[in-house]
This record gives sequence, structure tokens and C-alpha cells, in this order.
Amino acid sequence: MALRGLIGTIYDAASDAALWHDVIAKLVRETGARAGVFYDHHDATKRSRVLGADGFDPYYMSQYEHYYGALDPWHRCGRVRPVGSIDQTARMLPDAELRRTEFYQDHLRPQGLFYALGGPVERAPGHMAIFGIQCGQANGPFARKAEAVVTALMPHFRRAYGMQEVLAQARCEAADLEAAFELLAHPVFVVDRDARLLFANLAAEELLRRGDVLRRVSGRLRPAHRDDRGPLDRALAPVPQGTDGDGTLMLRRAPAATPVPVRVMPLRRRNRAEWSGRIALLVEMPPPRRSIAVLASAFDLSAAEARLWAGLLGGRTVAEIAAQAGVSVNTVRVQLAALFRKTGTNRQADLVRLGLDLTREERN
Amino acid sequence: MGQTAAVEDLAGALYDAAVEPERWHGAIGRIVETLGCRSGVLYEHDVSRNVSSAVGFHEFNPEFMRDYEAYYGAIDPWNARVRHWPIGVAAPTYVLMPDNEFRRTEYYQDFLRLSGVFYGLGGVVDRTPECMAVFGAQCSYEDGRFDPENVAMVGALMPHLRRAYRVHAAIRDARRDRETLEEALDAVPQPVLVVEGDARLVFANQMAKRLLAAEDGIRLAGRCVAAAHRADQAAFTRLLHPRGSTGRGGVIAALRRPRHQRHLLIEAMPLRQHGRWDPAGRIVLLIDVQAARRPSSDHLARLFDLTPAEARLWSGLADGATLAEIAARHRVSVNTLRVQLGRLFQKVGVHRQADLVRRALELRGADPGASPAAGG
Repeated sequence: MALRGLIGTIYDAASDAALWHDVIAKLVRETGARAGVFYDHHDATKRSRVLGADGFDPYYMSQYEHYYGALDPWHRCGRVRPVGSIDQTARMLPDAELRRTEFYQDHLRPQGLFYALGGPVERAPGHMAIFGIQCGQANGPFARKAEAVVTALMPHFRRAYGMQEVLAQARCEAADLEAAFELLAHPVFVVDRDARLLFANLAAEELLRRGDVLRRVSGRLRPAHRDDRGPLDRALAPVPQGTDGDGTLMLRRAPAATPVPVRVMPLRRRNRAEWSGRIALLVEMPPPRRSIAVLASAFDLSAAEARLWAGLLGGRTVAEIAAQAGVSVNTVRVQLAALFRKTGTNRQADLVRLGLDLTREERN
Repeated sequence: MGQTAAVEDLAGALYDAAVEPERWHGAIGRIVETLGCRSGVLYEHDVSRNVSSAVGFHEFNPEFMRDYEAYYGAIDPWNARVRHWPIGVAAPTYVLMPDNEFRRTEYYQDFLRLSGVFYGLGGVVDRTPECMAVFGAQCSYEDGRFDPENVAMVGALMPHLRRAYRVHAAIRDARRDRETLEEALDAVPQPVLVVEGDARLVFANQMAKRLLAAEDGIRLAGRCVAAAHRADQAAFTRLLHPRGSTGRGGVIAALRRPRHQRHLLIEAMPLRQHGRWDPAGRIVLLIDVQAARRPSSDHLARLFDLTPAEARLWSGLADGATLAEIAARHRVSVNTLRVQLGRLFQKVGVHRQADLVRRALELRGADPGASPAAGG
């Protein structure tokens, strides 16, 4: 009956990985073992990740993750034994042989552990997961009752671990795209057809904080200016399919200042033309300024070339820049030629315009 | 013991459905079979919109289910009464509402009666402030009320239903987020890529795909992103180690473009999740094509309701021409231009030519029709 509660906790752990520790602790209690562990190993990172453990000293746990895991005879079992099968140390290798290993001498012995019982939960290319319980040599090999418990739990470990991995994969893919979305230079909002705010990137959050163009009102996106409510509602109204619904809306800024163009983009499902029911709003505000130092690294400029460009952007002539730097005008001309070549320009005017373009200021 | 084994078996089917949504129908079908009743359903009810949608159902015809989702879910009296019912408690519907009262409802008369259902057995699987998930099994009036054994069995299934539903909802939400973000990134007028630390491509939005396909600044070498011009490869490789930070925390490289004089500016930022560096060393590449774009006079005219002459004047100024040059180009007097300029100031809301030029530069990039500036 206690087993049923334990199985429940295993499935709770599928959506809350912190609960694996509880699972292992209950398992250790149920089988009378000294310790237990559930971990997975990814070849790409060459590290074992402990999902849940009980009865291990944290010091030895981290040693195991970084070094001893790879020496563990169970690690080999995890790689070759059929997934879902159960095994015991006593059957895998003679006691005397285990005693001779570095793994036993330097890792198990100081912890007073000897026998283990468990098996591989999952195996895929470059990846495996395994769980087991441990006891001391004096306890003797695990009895049939403990083996029965571990055998009964194995299918649940497998299923719950599989659920956890599917969920982790889905969350990881979403988080990757969210991280990229956050970094977009323009403020971008994604809303549903009721103007409910689904996503706002960092620049958009900043805009909401200022509150002079758009605001969040009980989870919905609202214009700051009352008179813009109608136009925004109309722009977000369901878009007939097949028509190109992209449009630009001018939103007033409170108080009197230049209105801000907001691009309204109905989102389409990937690989399909139909509207997904979601709309992105891109606020056409200038992205923040870049410094000349950033441009210098981008175009691989020398310090002198960067100073020359900064000087030209500041409205100074080649002669003035030469005088200020204490070098000849010819030297500056050579630097200027290099600057033209590196930036793909061929006139001072173009160089200035490019510099202004790339370092445009953030205003308002 | 027989019941325990049956519950465990059904629970397994529910957990499998949690990661494969198309298996919900089968899992609910097996519960219905085990209970020996007519039909079953697991549905979500959006509390604020008062709309229901099915996760999985058995022995309801899809048309009936559509009607439920479109209209009857909102007037389902069991729905309203179960709203404050504790999570995970199974009960027969006659506890919620006496038979006679139920028979008189519009919901029963116009809808449920047609399916032959009268009694229900179920409960609230999970609940958040916005949404509740409800499981129900149904039988007809002639079948009679559910017996206590059936109530106990559904009670034993409730915790499994809750866990399976939670995983199902979490996976679905994550996939929906991913889809939404993908759509939004595809719509923005800026190429964006996510790559592994070794340049392997993880994601490219539509604009980035176009650049890759045209080998414009960047290209695909197998599964990896590389500079289109061989001489830029070293600069591109530096992008993959963006921790040596600059102004906004990234590294910038300028890559040559085959058909443009002006370079493509790529900014690399280490990918962060929940405020932490990505352990796998993934990187976001943001490409600035705006540097090479200029708003078309059409776009400016649309935005600020300008006449064609005003729009031409503005884009001429943005291109760096003087009033005299623009006057000569369009064969008008400078005085005419000054009058147009005054109106332009008014419409755009600025007072100086310099502000006009700056405003034009700001609006660039957000113009879908912007063409690469002539001569780079």
C-alpha cells in the first residue's frame, strides 16, 4: 500500500523534478537500503546529473558527478543491459573483484557502501538514465523483497522519466526562442484577438513601464491616449483570411509629442497561410545607441582609426584631427584610406552617414 | 484487488496520453469500458470566457461535442455547480442537483436528452484561477444511478487524472509559446538566428533564412552558419565567443555582402534562460539590415499623410541632399520647397531640418517596402 503512494510521487516528479529526492528517500525507506540515487548522463556534457538522491554525503555526490560516475561498474550496466531490467552488484561481479576497484576503494568504502540494486531507466544515443539503491557489505546482497519493490517501480520510473523529458524538451525549445525574442531591438508585443498580452520583449516592457504610448490594463494592451482606443481595437479586429493584414497605426503619445508608428502584424502559422489568431505589434522606435568602441570591434579598426571616425562624426576636419592627435595630415589620410576600405565606403560623407546610422541615438 | 489492478492499468493509459494527446480518446474509452457506462469526457472550462473545450472524449459524436463547446458548455448546470467543488473528489451528478430539477433545465431538454445521457459521475481534475479541468463519465436514466463501487473507482483515478492532465497542459503550453514566438520572430523585420557554440543552426527566422538562402553575408555550411565571404570567417568565429562584452553585452561583426557596398552588421549575444547563461553555450545572432535601408517616400507619405511632393522632399533631405539640390532635381524653386518644408514640419511635428533627417532614419527598418539604399 505504501508502494501506491510512492508511485504517485514518481508521477508528481514528472512535472516537478525536485520531487525525485522524495521518491528516492521513500524507496530507500521502503527497501531498508542505506542510500539510493537516480541520475542521467549526457555524453555531450560528459557529466552525470543527479535527479534524486538519499543517504549520500553531498561531497561524495559531487565527486560522483565529476569523476567516479564514469568508473562505476553500474555505469557500464546502464550502457549495455536492456532498458527496464533489474540487476544486483552481487550478480554482476564477484565481491573480491569489486573490492579491488578504485571506485570501491576511494568512493564506496569511505561511505560504507558495497552492494547495489537497480537498472537502466532510459537509453538513447548519447544519453542514459539509471536508478538504484545501495547498502553496506555487512547487510549482504539485497533480499528478494527489495528486488520485488524495485522491479515493481521500474516501469513507473521509465514512464515518468519519459514524460519529464518530453516536457523539458518542449520548454527548452520555447525558452530558446523567448531568449531571442527578448533581445530584439524594437519593442514587440504579441496579443491575442482580445488584446490580451501574451508576450512583450525587454524593449516592450520598458515601454510599458514608461506608459506614454501603450499600457497594460488588467492583462490587456491599451493605448495611453484615450482617442487611440478605437483605432487600436479596429486594427486588432479579426483579420479576414488570405488578405495581407499588415498595417501601420499612429499612436499619440501623452502629452503632446510626435506620434509613434506601430506596425500591426497578424501572425501566420508556420508553413501555413492561415492566421493563428495572434497579432504582433512592433513599435517603430529607434533602437539604443551603439558606441564607436563597438563599431571599432565590428569593423576591426585600430584605435587611431576609431578616433578618426569619431572625430569626423563630431564634425571636425582631417586637418583638425591631425593637429589634435599631433600627427601629420598625411598620416591621417592613410588612416582614412584604411577606414574607407574596412567600412566599404569611399567618401567622407558616406563614412559620416554610416557612423550616424550605426550610432543613432536613443531619444525620448 | 481486482479494482486496484484495473486502476493501475487505466492510470498507465492516462500517463501515456499526457505526452501523446491523440491517446486521450483511447484512455477515456478504457475508463468508460471498465465502469460499464455509456460515455466519458475530459474537458477544460475557461472560467473568464465561460467556454469549454474537450481534451478527450469517448462515445460522444464530434458534432455533439462541437455544440457543447460552442454553446451548451456555458449553460451546463453541472459546470456551474462543480466550480467550487474540491479538486480530486469524485461524485455522482445527483449530488450536485436533484433529478427533477435537472430534467427541467434547457441544457438537459435541448441538448443532453438527445444523447441519451442522464446521470454523470466525475469531478474537478485540476483548477487554476482561469481554468478548470473536469472529468465525467455518463449513463442513461434507464441504466440507473452509478453504484458506490464506480464512484470509488473514479475517486481512485482522480489523482492520476490530475497528474496526467498537469503534464499534458504544461507540454501544450510550452508548445503553444514556442509556436507564438516563432510566428512573432518570423514577422519582425530583423533577421534573427540561434546557434550552438560550434555555429550549428538551432533556429532562423524568415528574414534570416532569406539571407542564408541568398548567401548574403552569411551562408549555411552543412548544418553550421558561416560567413559568406571567406575573408570574414575569422570575424564571424569571434561572434561565437560573445562573453568578452561590449556596450550591450554582445560582440559585433561586420560581414561583406555580395551585392551591397555596405556591410551586414551582426550582433552576437549569449543566450540566457531565466537570467542564467545557457550551459550549452548557445548564442543569439541579431542582424542589423536597417543600416542599409532607407524609408521609401511612399511609406513616409502613408505614415504622416503627406503629399507626394512633401514626401519627396523629406526623403531627399534624408538622403543628404540640400534644398538647392532637391530644387534643381525636381525643377521647382527653393521658395516652393520652403513652403513645403513648413507644412512638413507641421505634419511630422518637428521644427528643424536636422530633426526631420533624424526622424527619417528612425523610421527606417520598420518599413516593409524599404529598398536598399542606392549605392550602399
